[in-house]
Amino acid sequence: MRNPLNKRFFRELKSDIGKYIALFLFLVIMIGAVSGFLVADNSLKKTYDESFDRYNVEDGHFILAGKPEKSLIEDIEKKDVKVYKSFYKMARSGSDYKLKVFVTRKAVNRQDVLKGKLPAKHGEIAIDRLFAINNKMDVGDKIKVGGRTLRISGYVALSDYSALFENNSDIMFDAARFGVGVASQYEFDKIDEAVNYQYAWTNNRKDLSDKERKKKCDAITKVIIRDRTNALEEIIQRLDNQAITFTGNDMGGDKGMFLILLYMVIVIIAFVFGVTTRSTLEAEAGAIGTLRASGYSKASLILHYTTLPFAVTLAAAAVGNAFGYWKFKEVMAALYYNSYSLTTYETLWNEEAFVLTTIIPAIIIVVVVMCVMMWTFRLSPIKFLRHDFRLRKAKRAVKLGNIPFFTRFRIRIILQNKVTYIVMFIGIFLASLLLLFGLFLRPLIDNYSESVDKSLMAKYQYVLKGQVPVAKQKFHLRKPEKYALEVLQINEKDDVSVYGIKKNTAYLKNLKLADEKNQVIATSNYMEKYNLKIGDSIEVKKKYSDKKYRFKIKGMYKYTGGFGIFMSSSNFEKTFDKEKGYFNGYFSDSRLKGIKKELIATILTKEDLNKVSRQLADSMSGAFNTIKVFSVILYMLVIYMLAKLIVEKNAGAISMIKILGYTSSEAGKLYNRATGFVVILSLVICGVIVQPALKNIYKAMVRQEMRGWLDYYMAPWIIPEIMGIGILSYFVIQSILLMKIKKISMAEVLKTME
Amino acid sequence: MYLEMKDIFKSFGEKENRQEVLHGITCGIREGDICVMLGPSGSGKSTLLNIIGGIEEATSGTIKIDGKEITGKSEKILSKYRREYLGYVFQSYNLIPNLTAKENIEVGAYLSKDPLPVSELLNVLGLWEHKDKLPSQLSGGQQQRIAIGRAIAKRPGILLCDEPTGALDYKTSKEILKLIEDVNEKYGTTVILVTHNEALRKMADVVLVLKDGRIVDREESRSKTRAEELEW
Ligand SMILES: Nc1ncnc2c1ncn2[C@@H]1O[C@H](COP(=O)(O)OP(=O)(O)O)[C@@H](O)[C@H]1O
Ligand SMILES: [Mg+2]
Repeated sequence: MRNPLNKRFFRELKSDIGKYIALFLFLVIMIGAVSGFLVADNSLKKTYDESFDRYNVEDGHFILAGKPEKSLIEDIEKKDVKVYKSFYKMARSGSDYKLKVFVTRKAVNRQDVLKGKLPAKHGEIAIDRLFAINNKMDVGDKIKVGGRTLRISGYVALSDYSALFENNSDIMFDAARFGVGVASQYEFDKIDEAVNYQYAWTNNRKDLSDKERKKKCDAITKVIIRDRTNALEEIIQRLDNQAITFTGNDMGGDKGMFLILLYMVIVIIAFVFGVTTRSTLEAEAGAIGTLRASGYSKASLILHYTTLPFAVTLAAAAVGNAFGYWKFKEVMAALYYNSYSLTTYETLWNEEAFVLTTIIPAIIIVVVVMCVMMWTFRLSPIKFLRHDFRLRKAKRAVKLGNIPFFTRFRIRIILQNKVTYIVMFIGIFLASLLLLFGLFLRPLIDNYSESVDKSLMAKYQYVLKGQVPVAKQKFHLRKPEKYALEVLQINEKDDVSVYGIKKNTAYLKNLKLADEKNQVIATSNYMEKYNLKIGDSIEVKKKYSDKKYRFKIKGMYKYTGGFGIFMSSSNFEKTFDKEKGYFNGYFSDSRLKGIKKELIATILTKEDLNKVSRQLADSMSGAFNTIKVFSVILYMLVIYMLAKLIVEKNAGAISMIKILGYTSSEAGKLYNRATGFVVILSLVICGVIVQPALKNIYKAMVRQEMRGWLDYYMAPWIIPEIMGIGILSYFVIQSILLMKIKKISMAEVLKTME
Repeated sequence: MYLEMKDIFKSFGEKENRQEVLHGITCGIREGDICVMLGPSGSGKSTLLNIIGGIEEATSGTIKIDGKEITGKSEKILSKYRREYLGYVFQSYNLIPNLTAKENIEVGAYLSKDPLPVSELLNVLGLWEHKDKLPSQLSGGQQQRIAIGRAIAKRPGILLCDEPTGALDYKTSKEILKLIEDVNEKYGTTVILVTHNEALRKMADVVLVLKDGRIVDREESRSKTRAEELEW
């Protein structure tokens, strides 16, 4: 025979349908969003990784000043590479944008068509999707390209331009100002702009290490320079090409954050399930006692009471996952497609996402509910029969001297429901943390922008490709100052700029350089991220090489731009084997005249650095708002569910005091205010402890997942805002609960009389 | 009459499930009397008491207390009426489990501007040494004493008792009945005591006998027996 208890499930579900629907929906949305994100992230990342083979993405390219002889290409190909013609023309539309036009690719760096078609031989062009959308160009529109009017035949993504960097030295790209497109050879020839002689190469061997790839690139460089017929304008290997690699580096970074959020919510829901199931046990104690006395095993009852929470979680996880694959995935993928020119992705089944968003949440909930059950079922059947859930024998009342009666009453309510209130506190704490997450990042990024402004080493920081003198010119305050720079690797993720700085530098305030070789000053952000103290040793590595350098930190320099370490020019020369007086950059208060553009690697200004943080803020602001709304709902849900539980548990007492002549609002004052007191106290405590908690989570997360470092910053209005939101949520809930109290009939007492 | 009932009808349920429980009850009770309401189980005693107590609404008919009409009034007015005039004692004590004995009585005292002093009550009830205990630490008789204390602390005009001794043993029952009698004498509280124990008719000033929702007998007693001398 089937267990007759099973009939209870449906009734229990029906009797508390509000709670189950709320928890179910909440889980569906949460799990859907996270699985959608993980699926999109994984699918996009795999698509991106596979795009190198699928579209035959180059291993590097070079640009020559003029058209080379055939023999040069043959010589290069002797280095075990294949070379492809990849000429382009740069078309301009006033100062609005630049469009780099290639011939439709067939062999290397092939394009993917996202909308419309590839361009026909006559009168058509296909352009990058993101660039087109940013400039409000649709398929079928006509645009002017180098003196010709062409119809846009389609949107494409070029496999070597997933991030639209115009110059590789740019700190950030701007997909509105710069785009790429492809046209037929016929139209390409007609465009009235100069040809740029770009060639792409691919290595014949695909299994080269990064070091070997770099060697290959160096070998090609040598062949071209030896040839002398044409100047080498640019050579970039794929690993250094931001237009190709930037996207891949950005992917997967937010995974940890999403998972932390998910598990926080799951833990809260697990506790809510635990507490509500426990109260069901208390309500049904008599029946449970009878069942146990008549031979039902503990295990079968525990199983029985765990089934519903488990089933709800599993159903929510299944529906959530389906939603994730079906809908949320696209929302999450759109986050990437809004920033990057990605090729079409294929949705891939992601078993990791399934485990992380379905199996683990279900396990967390079952374990928590199970623990509550086992804890409760330690009691003997006789205790159940007597509705006696106390462990020790006769519990004595806590003495509460001469406090006013209502206050004493409320304290008794709090004492009676302490477990529920503790869970409520945990819920409020986690919801506050979540809310804090939604609120604090934006001001943190703004704060970062400001601090970057302040900590800039110079208004203009030139990084040069060689030792270039400045032309004679007038300077107002400070003369430009030479410095030497070498970029080393801290690890896979982070680079550090090593500066050789003039003693008594006029530009870096309060920088006290150490005298000894290998003794350095490190920037504050570097030390913070890697938990370094003065006196610690650091080891950094040369890119594409095994050469390592060890430095001892002698001091800290407050700086928020990029990671840096400083040493005196002479120590720099010794460390890196440079001649005396070596330099490759200037600090300056004004733009410098007389430096050829080709010789400038980068000019760092505050606009450049701000571009980075703006891009970060823009790409995340959608997520911030979602988290905000989400955590407010969570707040309400947790407080409501638990406060409701307390009202239900005390329905008999509430009914009785109504019979005595108390009004509903007086009953509300007793029971809701007790909850209100706990809510407000919890909010105050959370206000104090949530910030250090967040600070630690934030730091751990940035250390683990992000490149660079953004200083932790909490805008002063955030904690008050959170408390305000919490208190407001409570008042909304209080009025709902008051209605609930009004509905408790006096017949409640009569029922128990039977 | 202090309490007047006129043509009280009460039915439960709708249409085919409709069940007439009270069929036109008319009677009055004098101030300060002990009224014992007798009748077999299911005769409608509790229902009538609950209508007097304003917990249940009569289908038709009127009730006046102290000259004031209470039927058909809003929940708010009823709540005020209960507050001013009524004390309630049930068979199950319905104490608030997380409050001490003294605090449970305070729950009642709070409702009056001029309540009986709680400590005096504790003495009268013989609960002084138990005042800081929780209901679960006390015996049934002690719990019922608290319930009575809670009911009378606000000096109600009427004390409604629905089978107050139904769950108690013989000796304890007699103690509780004596207490009710003392309350009636000491504070002049009108008492309506519902029971199916025939023996209690001897302690009443007036006895009402209900059967199938009708008053089948009304008997004024001339010589009362004191509660402690009752036997059954
Ligand atoms: N809330 C109710 N709904 C339906 N029937 C009820 C309700 N309360 C009482 N009754 C019915 O009214 C009748 C009288 O009940 P009650 O007043 O409790 O009798 P007594 O207290 O004399 O034993 C019974 O038949 C009972 O089934
Ligand atoms: Mg009855």
